[in-house]
Amino acid sequence: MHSAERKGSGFIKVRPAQMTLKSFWQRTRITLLALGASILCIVVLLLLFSNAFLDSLKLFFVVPFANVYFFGNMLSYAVPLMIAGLGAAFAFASHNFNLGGEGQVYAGALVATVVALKAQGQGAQDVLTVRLVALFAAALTGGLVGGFSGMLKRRLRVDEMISSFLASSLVVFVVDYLLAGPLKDPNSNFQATKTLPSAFGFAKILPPSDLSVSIFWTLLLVMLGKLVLDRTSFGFELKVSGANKEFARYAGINGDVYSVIPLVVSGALHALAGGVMIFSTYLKTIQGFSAGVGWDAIAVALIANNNPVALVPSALFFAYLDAGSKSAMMGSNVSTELVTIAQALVFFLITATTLPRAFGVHNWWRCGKARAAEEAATKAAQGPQQ
Amino acid sequence: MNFMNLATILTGNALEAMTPLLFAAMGGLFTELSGALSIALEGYMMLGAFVGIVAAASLHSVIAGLCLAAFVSATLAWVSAKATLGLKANIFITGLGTNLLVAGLLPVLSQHFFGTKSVLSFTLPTLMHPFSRTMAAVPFLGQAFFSHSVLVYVSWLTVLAAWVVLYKTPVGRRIRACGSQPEALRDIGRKPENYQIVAAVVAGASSGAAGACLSLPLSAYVPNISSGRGWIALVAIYLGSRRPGRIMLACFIFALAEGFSNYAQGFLQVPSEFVLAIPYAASLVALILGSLSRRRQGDWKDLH
Amino acid sequence: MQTVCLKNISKFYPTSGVQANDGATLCLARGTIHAVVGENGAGKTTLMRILAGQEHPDSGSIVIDDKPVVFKTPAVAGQYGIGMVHQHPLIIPDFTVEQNIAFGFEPRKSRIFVDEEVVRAKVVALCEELGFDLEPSALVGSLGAGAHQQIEILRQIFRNREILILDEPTSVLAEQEIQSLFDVLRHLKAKGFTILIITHKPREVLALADQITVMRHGKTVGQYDARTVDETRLARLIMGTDSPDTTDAIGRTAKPEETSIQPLQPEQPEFCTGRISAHNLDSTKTLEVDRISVRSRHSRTPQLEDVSFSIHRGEICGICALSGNGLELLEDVLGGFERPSSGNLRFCGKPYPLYPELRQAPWNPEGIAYVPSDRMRRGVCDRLSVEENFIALDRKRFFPHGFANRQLAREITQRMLEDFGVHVRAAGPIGELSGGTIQKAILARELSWPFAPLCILCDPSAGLDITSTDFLYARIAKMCASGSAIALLSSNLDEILTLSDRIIVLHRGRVAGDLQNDGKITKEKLGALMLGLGSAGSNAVQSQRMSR
Repeated sequence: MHSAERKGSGFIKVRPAQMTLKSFWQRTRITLLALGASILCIVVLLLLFSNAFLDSLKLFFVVPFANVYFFGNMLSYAVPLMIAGLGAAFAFASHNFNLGGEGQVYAGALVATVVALKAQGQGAQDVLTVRLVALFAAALTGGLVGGFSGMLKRRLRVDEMISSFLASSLVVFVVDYLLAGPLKDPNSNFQATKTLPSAFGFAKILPPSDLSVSIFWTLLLVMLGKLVLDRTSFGFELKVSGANKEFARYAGINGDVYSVIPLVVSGALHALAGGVMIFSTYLKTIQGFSAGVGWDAIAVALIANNNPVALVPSALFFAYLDAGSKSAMMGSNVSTELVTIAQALVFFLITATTLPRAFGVHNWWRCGKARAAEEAATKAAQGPQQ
Repeated sequence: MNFMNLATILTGNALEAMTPLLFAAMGGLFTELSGALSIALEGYMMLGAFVGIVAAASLHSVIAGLCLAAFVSATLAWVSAKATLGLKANIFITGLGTNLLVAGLLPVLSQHFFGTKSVLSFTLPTLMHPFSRTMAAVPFLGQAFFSHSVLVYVSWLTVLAAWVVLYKTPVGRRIRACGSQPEALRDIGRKPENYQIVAAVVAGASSGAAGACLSLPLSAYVPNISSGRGWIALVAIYLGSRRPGRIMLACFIFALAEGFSNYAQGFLQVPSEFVLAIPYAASLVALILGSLSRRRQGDWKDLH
Repeated sequence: MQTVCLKNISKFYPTSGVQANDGATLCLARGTIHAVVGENGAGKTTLMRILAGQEHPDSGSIVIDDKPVVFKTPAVAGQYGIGMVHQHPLIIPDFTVEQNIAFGFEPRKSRIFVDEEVVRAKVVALCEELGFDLEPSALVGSLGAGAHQQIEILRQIFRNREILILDEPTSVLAEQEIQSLFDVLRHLKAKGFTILIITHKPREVLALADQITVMRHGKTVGQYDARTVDETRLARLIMGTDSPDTTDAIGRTAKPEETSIQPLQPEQPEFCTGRISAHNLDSTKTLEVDRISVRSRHSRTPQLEDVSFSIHRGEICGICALSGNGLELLEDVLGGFERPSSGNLRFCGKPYPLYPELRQAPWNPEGIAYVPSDRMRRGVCDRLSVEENFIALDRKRFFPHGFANRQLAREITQRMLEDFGVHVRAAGPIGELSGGTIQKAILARELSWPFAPLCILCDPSAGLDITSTDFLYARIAKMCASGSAIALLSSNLDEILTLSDRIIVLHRGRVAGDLQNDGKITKEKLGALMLGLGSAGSNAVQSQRMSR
């Protein structure tokens, strides 16, 4: 439907061995601008729509740090963002758009819950193994969903952006149906599965918040991701296939494989994130509980410029915004969609490759110099003949 | 129910359902041809649905609602396109951003002005054209084709207008050249970016109108009323090989599928989630089938 | 006399650090044909782009009929009647011939619609007058490079531009097409057009031009009357081994002193003219192409039909064709981008790595070196650094046990680059290098020791200056001596004739000629075969003719 060249527009960089200091600063400048703009945007929105501006300011920006409960929950939400963000980064690094994150997370969560419930029903005691198997099953499911789009791309040249979005929307409907029907917990008022006993969850490290050991595993995973992307031949081939498919083929890299595998990995990671959410916090799958994680993950990966290490602060930032919006919602009339609007602003700014002249003091100076040069040229053109 | 009746109802429903798809697809076609495909059609549609009905109810005029919906969405499209091209950003990411923006903004506005994030109901003047009652009496043809709201016929005119502009006017040719050889535009002293912005504005306006076509007939605004039609329009553009006539056919087929699924819900006891999923499923299936047939024909126009 | 003058033009490109033009001056008289010659990088294209309004000079002026003008956009230059026929024509793929010609300047009917009849009439009339065989309603995608160029020329004439700048027009044409083009240009000159032609092939334009401006290193060496200059002198002026004349005397040149420097000619390489005769040919066939046919997916572009030839160890086989006659497909097949629908290919007796199989790196014992014609898109990845472009070819070697060995990569890359005389930093991004340097880097990568047993070279010297070309030819000679077989796919007939032991000509996807290069083959003969005229030395062509 559209060519990879059109997708390029410079925002996905296979970084050369030496990035110049100037380009690094330019890139960071844009990221900081995007983040700053999103904060400013929230402030403005609070001003416009909240009936208690100063209170909601405090609720949004300060309360997440106020006590262990809020702080820990904030960190806890960063965990699935990091995992799913890694998935999004993997897809982007190979110039694939995985827009199916929402469905993959949701499906992964359900699969993990169902597998664990089944194991519990059969009297399994070894919680560690059950968790492992459940998470593996979740990842497998996500991998299949992602791989479906990948195969469509490889075999039929179907654009993976559209197919992943459509497939994921279908998956969301299927899961919704299952939660409202066959898998619904008959004793609950919610459209949700039965609840897993708390022994099945990860060990909490910062009670009374939900923060669990999953954060350590996640940091390890992120490190592993960086290793694979930057240091292995697999990661290299993946990035080259994404950057220039024709050259990849010329160099003897089987580019077809890299239409599929990054999407499989991306789907698997998203689903894993969903499973981790279950075992860290929820212990059951409720209809719509993971809404927004997929889009957040894309934003996280964009801010991190697909660098796995940068995913950590990026995920923390978004978790902070999310925590702020939840606390503001509880304390005042502000709705959580404010963060979505701020997120949208991030999307607009984060892929900018140049800043308009107005945004840089030294650009004013250069502006003036350029104008002077133009005048000189015109004068020179008219000069000698007189 | 005999076959004739069924066909009449299905065709009639399909033509009604096709309207928003047609509007959005025509606008999206301009952006695709200009080389800067807009994936924010969904967002423009939602915005148009909201603005359209609020304006129509406040100003007691369906026309005003339609025009304002188109105008507001076009403005958003203009801002988005200018930002994308000015910042030299990735157009797909900013398209996603636009969708997110609308998705976040509308509940906030709805809550703020109407006190609720759920369904908003209004009273509106009629949309039907003056002869619809007499036409409805005519068997099959009248019922199926000629007894719809004015919006349906306006959408058909849009297809014609798109075809004329793109193939018979200099502006249309330049927009088409933008997508395949932007240097040719610089050669005549024009900036391709300007034509991409024009295409984006057209897409915004027509997708906004599409949204209004969703909410006005219902006399209500339902959250997520567009439910993926913006994306389906993109699929229609692809299936229609970027030609207005074929895109119209693709939209008709999608609308038929949707109409059938509504019918099926009543008759066949299908769970509501599946019914909602049908447009997505149909698009995915159509996408796959379309690509299969391309592969067989050897029409691999876009490599990589 | 009416004149257009560029005076003291300077242009510096900060991103690449190149002083493209340095006080260049050129004066053009209307109604003449004026050639601008020089080596690659001499600044010809930049100067012409400035004249066409596509670039702005840092200093200097453009003067038309003694009045200074400033071209803010190409459109302004167009208003003064200056139009550019680009080297790669700006053809809009989905449009027809007449839509392309009229683009941007369509006559209007009732102010909003295009008046298609007027366009059609005008196009038909122009085609008839200039003898162009173009069907106005044909889609341009199916036409060849020559037709595209004709469309660009017509486009400028349609826009009433009387000063035409042609940028390297002969680079995509066959011999006969070049002569047709020259006839057209002479006709236009007779009608009062002014023609500026940029080229680095002095031989061709001596026949055509009235005035010649020589450029070197961004400066104008001088402007000469074409009648006072011969090929030898011109070559000397371009290379800089002749003393430059005073630049402001148009047509009056000071007599150059006799120098002791030998006239610079391309080195007589030890190629062809019986280098390999039939009886001392090594019988080992490195590459066997056996009746391959390619059914292309795009039904409009020609396929390959029944192509057979073989290349022995140490032999150079030149393959040439007009664009769109199967050379590109053959390159794709040999390069691993296309699979023949029938037929056999063998490489050293074993099956050739055809799509989707992958070729091995050139420095492997069973590797194939491949220098592609589309170097920017296929030969390098411009997002990577130079060394990453090298290590991409052999991940097994540079990622032992799966992990990167950057040190090894850097050393080897640096060695290969220096071996070929390319002095760049291995770690730098490749996108910053000039086109010629990138080509040299690709050659360094593919043609380094240990030499690959089979080497597929496609237009290898395109974009290279004479020194680098000589270096390349010497390297090719070395490779042959050590047993590599070379397939030279090129549209540069001089190159084909210089290097090849055997020459194969393709026409419409079939082998139109398979000739031993015995020194008696002329460019005209090759051109005739490429156009499908004349008999060839091969029986295969005769039987094809009869069976049609």
